[in-house]
Amino acid sequence: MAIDTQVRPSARTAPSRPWRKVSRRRRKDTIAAVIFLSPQLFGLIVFMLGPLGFALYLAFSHWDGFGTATFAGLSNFTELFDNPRIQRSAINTVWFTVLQVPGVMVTAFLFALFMQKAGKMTSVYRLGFVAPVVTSSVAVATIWLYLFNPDISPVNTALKAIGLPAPNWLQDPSFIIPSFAIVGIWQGLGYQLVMFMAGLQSIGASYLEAAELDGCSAWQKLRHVTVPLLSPTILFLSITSIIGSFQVFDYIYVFMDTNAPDEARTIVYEIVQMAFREFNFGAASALAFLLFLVLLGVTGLQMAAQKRWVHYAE
Amino acid sequence: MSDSLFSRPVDRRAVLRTGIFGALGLAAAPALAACGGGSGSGGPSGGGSVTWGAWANPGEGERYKKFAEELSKKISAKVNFQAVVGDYEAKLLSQLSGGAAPDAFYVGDGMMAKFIQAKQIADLSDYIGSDKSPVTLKEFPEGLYQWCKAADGTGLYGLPVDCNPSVLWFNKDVLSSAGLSQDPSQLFDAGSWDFDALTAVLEKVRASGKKGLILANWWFNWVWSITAFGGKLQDEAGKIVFADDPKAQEGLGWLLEQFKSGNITYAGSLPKGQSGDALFLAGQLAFNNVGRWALPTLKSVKFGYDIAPLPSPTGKDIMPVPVATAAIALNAKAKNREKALELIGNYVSKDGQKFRLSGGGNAVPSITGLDEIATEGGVPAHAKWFNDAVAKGYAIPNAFVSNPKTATDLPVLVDKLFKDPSTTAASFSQAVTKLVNG
Repeated sequence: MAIDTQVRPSARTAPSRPWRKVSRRRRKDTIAAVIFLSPQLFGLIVFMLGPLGFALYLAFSHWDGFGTATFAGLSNFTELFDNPRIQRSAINTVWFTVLQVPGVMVTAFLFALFMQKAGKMTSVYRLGFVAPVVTSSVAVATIWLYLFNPDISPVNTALKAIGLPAPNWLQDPSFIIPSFAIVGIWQGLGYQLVMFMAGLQSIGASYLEAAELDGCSAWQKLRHVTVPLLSPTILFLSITSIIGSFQVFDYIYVFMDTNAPDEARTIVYEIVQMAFREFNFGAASALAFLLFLVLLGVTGLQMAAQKRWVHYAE
Repeated sequence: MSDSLFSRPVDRRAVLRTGIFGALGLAAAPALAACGGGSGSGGPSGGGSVTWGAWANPGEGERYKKFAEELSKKISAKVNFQAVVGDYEAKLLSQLSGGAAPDAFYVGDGMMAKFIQAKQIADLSDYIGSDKSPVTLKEFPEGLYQWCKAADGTGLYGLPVDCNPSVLWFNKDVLSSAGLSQDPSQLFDAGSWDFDALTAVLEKVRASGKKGLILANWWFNWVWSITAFGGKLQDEAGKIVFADDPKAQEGLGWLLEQFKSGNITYAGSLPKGQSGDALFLAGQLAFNNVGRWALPTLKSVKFGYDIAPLPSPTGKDIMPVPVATAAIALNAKAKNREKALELIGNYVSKDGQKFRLSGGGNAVPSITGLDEIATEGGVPAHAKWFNDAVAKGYAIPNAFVSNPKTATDLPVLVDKLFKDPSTTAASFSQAVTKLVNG
């Protein structure tokens, strides 16, 4: 028995010692990592995941901002689908996205191409383009409020001077969303320009030289070399632009205050109105949840489609 | 040098220990900060502290802070002003939900009914009727506080802090260049400022190539066409009845006719910056239908201006017209209820309004007996009409705001109806009545 007790532990412990050491070290590292991350995790849970979870809970509840929420089942969702104003807001949001996203991407891409040849003036131009990005949306909207004024706007004066019709930008139902898109393009241009310039600069000169040796024209180089090699940048910008454009709110709020007509309302504007003006937090949260699902779906589709057209160089 | 902090080998245990203390410190910081924040409480004579929240422009904010200092001495409590910048309603709602709202706060017309229904604000009837209150309800024009009552007409959940009646500001230069020998104030003094006179002025201005008047979908800008014509807006029970009133129909018909003819431009739902204000300041608009808040920006313009009341059927009367106002209400969960009531009473009292509004130039007192505030400096020349308009005017009808959904839907409906050229007085009235009365 004495021998037995002496042998057994050594037989058990001898092979497992290194594993235990590794396991213990890993556990300690994990604890250390958690401790170091805890301030950030705390913020993430309290300020991001908590409100997200609460919004999801509210989507299935009746709650007016005070007192106790009651279970609503799917009634908030059916209320949304039956509401013609929400349908109109969804159409407006998609229309804004259709105008703004390609508008800002194409414009930024073209300016980025021109900026490649700007030489010493590049930084000056870049500053000019980036200025609207760092300006608050409210200030941007206030400037454009003046520029869209049908009577005293220099834009309309210029249009009239060259014999073109001067639209009533923020009153004519067919011009309201395009007006928002113009502002969105103007403000978003700088950021995308910088991204495209970085993308263009990362394209190796050897690719373009090889294309030139093969006798490619400038257009062919752009189409068959530059654009494919820029495709990761294009993918990234399209994803972030679509998400941003689906969430457009600030311009409308400054332009129209809380009384925006049906032709000017977007989904996020409706969410704010429903929650903070109509005290219908349940329906507002349900709409926010639906918007999240739509954006998730659109982004998923973009990620799935990237395999067909996005080329990662090395 | 070898003992310096940077040359020491890094000890994992020491790093962990520092990290733990650092994390604990960060976690404890908000709690410690909160504890530290409490030191501000306690008034000059131990009456505790009391806070009120309001929207305010920078000038108003400074004045409110001075008011807080003065009131602190008067009510023996530390009075704090909390300026709410940005979306006031959303922020107040968040504060109320989180139990962190000030003891007293401003309430706009779109929120009053909901706050009453949700029991977020307390009834002030007993206080205003007691000896403790430095102000009585009789001092307020009756039409100014009806919207502060519950839907069944009971209680009083807010007191108007100041107000702004709907008047017509006019540009003298635009009118004279349009060939008008008498301006609207002179026409009123002559007893001939009726709707035909206004129509004639608008036609002449339009012929001169300038715009006459721009109106928006805000109730302040169109409801006067009902009441200034002598029409009945609502009955004693608060139901909207203008659909059945011939004079109201005549007034609305006149307004729609002016939109169609181009004498009046419908500015839709645009905010103030692009409706009448910008054009009026640019000297391109004859009339601007706003309150006294326009005065500070007008003081620097080069053209001559004045005000006139909205026209009347007789041409010499000041008719009931909309008056924009906000109220101060008592948080139902006020931490210092007694001092909060004192704050509210003093805030809307004669002394309080005089202190807050003198020299500010952007509002009219909501109580009688302070006529000199609206007329101070003699600008505009006929500023006395502000007081007359308030005395006869009315704040937003309760029916327009008794339901938050109705309150948000009404301007959108009005926008749609004003933009539709086929809208008649009858169809407009029916649609609005259906929405408001249900």
